[in-house]
Amino acid sequence: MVKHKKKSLFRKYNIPVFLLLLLIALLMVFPFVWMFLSAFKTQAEVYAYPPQWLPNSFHLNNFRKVFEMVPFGRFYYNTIVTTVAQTALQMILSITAAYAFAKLDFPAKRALYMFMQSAMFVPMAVSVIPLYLMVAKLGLVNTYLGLILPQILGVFTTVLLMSFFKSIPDDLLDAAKIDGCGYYSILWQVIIPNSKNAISAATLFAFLSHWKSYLWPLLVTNNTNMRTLPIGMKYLITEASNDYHLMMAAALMSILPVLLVYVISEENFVKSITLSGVKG
Amino acid sequence: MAYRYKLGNKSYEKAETRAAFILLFPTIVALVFLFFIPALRVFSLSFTDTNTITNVSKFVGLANFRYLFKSQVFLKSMRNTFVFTTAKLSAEIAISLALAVMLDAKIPFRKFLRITYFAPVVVPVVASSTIWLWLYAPTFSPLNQILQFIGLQPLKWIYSADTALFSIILFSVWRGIGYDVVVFLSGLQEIPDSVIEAARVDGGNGWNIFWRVKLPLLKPVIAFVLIMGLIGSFQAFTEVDVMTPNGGPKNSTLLMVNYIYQQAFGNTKMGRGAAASLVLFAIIFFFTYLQRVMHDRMGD
Amino acid sequence: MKRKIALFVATMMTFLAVMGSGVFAQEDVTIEVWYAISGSSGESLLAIIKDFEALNTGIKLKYSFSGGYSDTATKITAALQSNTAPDVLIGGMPAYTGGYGNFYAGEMVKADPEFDYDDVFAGLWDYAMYDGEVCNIPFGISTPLMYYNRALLEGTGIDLENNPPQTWDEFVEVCKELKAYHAGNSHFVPFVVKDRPWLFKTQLRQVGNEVIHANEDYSVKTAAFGSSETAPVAAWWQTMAREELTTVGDHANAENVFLAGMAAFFAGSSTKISAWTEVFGDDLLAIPMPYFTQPAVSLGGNTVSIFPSKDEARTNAAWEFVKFITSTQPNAKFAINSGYLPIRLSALTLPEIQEAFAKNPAYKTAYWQLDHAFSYVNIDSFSALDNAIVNAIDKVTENTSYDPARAMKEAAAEYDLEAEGR
Repeated sequence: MVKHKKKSLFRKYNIPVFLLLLLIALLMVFPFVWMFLSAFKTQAEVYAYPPQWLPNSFHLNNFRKVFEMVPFGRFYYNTIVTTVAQTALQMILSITAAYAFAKLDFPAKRALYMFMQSAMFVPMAVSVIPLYLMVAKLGLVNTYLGLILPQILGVFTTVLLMSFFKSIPDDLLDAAKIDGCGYYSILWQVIIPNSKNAISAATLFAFLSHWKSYLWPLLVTNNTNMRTLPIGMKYLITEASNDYHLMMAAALMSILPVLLVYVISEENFVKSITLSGVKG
Repeated sequence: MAYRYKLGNKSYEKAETRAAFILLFPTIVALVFLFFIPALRVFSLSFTDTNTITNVSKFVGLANFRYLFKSQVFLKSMRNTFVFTTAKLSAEIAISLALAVMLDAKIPFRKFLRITYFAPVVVPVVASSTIWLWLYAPTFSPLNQILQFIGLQPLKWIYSADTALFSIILFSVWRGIGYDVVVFLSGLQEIPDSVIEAARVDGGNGWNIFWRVKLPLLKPVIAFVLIMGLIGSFQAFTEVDVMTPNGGPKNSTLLMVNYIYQQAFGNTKMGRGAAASLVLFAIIFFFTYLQRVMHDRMGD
Repeated sequence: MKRKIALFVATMMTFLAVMGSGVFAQEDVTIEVWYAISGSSGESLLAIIKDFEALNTGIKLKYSFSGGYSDTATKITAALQSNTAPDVLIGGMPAYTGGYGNFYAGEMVKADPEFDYDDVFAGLWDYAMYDGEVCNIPFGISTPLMYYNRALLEGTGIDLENNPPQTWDEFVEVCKELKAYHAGNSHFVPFVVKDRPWLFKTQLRQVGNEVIHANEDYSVKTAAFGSSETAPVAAWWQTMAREELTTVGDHANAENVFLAGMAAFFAGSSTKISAWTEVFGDDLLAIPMPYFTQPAVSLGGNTVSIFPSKDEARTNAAWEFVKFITSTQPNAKFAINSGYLPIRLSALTLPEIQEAFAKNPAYKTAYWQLDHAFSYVNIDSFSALDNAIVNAIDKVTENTSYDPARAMKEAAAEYDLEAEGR
């Protein structure tokens, strides 16, 4: 895989480096291990001093309790629905805009680009109230639309895709034009097929940020059935203030599926990020 | 075939212009509603004393800004944000660069290692902050137990003004390095073998090949990580909100977004929060611009 | 095609018009209820909500937890400005209603003969006022309680049940004795508190201070704690720090320390009683709050708000519901299970209250503290007040030669600057 390391093939592996990396890996997973163990503890075990590492027994009481307190499945469902919709819409917006900015010439291009870029500097916490008032006027509070629509603007993904689209040779586009392709079919038949990896990288980036989205869903959802996972977690933390074992059970449940999906699709993850990184 | 028209001293193709604006239309609509109108509103709010709860409001000119730059708490939140951003970014970039270089060596279980480094990235911040909240509890924390085991003093972590911001930074680095490692690793693997071979032939060892060859070639990648990290760190909010809800002991972890949130919602001073938002906006804008200028100077 | 669209639009319009005129909304009224009461207290609230539903009044409830106080504040603020507020909010502040000129609940408690206004502890109404007028109804009320962990007193010869320290000076002496007794345990600390501002405000009233001073028409509210009478309060915190009788700096961790059995005293809300019995069992007890010159406790907890809607039926339904949850029996049931305190004097006659007192003496202590409970003038800048107080405490505890009177004066100036105007 790494061709420029041919020489080191002679010594089989670089063991000291590996050991160092392994140690760091252990530090990285330690919080998850602690979470896993704590999710099975009782309150008394959690508050034991000195800290007790292993629970006395691996029982599912905490998970049962969490399910009694909050509809965890519903949180999952909401998160998936909104995240998928937001990601899809954001990608449509990003691809079309990136294509226009990268490959088309039109008046006020630079001004529009600057305008778009400045949107990246505005933290959500800042624009949240005016946004809320707007969403409320449209009657979209506590609806999926209200959750989804305000979060479809992806300046970063647009800029990212732009840099890729730019690298597609103009000759290719010209050839398509000669073949009778219009501007839209060029996007469809030339740009998109030639930047699948870039698009999946951007999609992944968008997905991850929506998956974690916190402030907006906190504001715009009014009942338990509309809440997303991060908000459900935050509310559980409030509700279970000293019940650390319950929080950890909930954290475990909210993390596990994502981790599993990630472990399975790790190659793709890495490949897509690889692509997003190189072009700055 | 192509109908061209002139605007200013440039000429454009009519069909191209139309296509561009049709393609840009959804983005422009989204920009206007999700960015421009809210931004205008924040701008106008910043010159008023709007009460968040009652919405009673009157024009106060620059009073909010004068207040902010006199307020010890705001200045502290600004300082915290700078410390947080600088420390987090430098630690994160240094560590992940080192990890990427090491991962680039011949080692077993590379995939497993990559997965462990990246895992914190995919986890919702709320969930991972909750875990760390407990790791940071001075009495029950296994962290302190480990510190004592290796002969160090236990820390109060997020519960002491001296260590709280450090704890938040530690958490953020843990959460962030995975992404950077993968980006750097890809950057390293993009470097053509011939370049490395040539340097080796010139008698370079691993160490100075890294400094003389690899690092300069990684510059655009580092710039990318830096700018994304900058924007992200200046807007950090959730980890502080979950781990130290009131800005930590003596406001030691209060970041600017948390300050804005606290003023606007805890203190009902929407106008003041809006003014602080504008300051934050200006800072992010300045740094992004600065970074871009430096990047352009250095050349790609 | 065009005709089809026109037909569709027409149908939709008629449908909407019919919906709007309320033809379908005749039978049951549905009201929206938000509550900011969490954990086991939230469960106790749900229990009385279920009781209300069982009465089949024709009032349907759509209820949901709106998060802790600060999340709820954010949400209700946004909702109020966009007319999406619920009909009832359990766990709110007077500013959400009074701040909008909504004194509906305050008028109803006096106008509706079915609501026994005088049966509510007198001090509680102050807690539900905005600028001098009642706008909410006290509901989840608590007082700060001085808990102790009996297990840590064993063998010390200190008898807190029969001979509790009455004043803060006596409290310091007890703490010293405990510290001496547990000298071998380096983790032991006699007293911890998480919510320092709450205890501090309690102590301010104990020296006769009004915390916040309002002028006649409530247009100007300034800090009252800058006067020299408050110096003994700050001085007490300084003593506690100097003698190492409490922790300095890591208050957010206080609950954990107390739960781990490393602290003898913990000052905090009476709602902890129900939450903590699992950990402590019989060992969780409380002494009446010590005082300086006069006994007093600062009220905490929350109130119920009603947001009248254009639909009168909904508003009436909201009032009926609120009347139910604030009446003696349901309110007491909620209180017993949650650790909040019954708002009504008549609750004392209920056998379940007597039973709860017998089972949990700490609960009885908390209830009787309502007798000298007080509430300072409502302000918008809660966090500014708390920050100013916390800063004063930090100053005198981290530098034990800092002049307490000076710290208080600075705290008052700090609050006034933060809250300038309103």
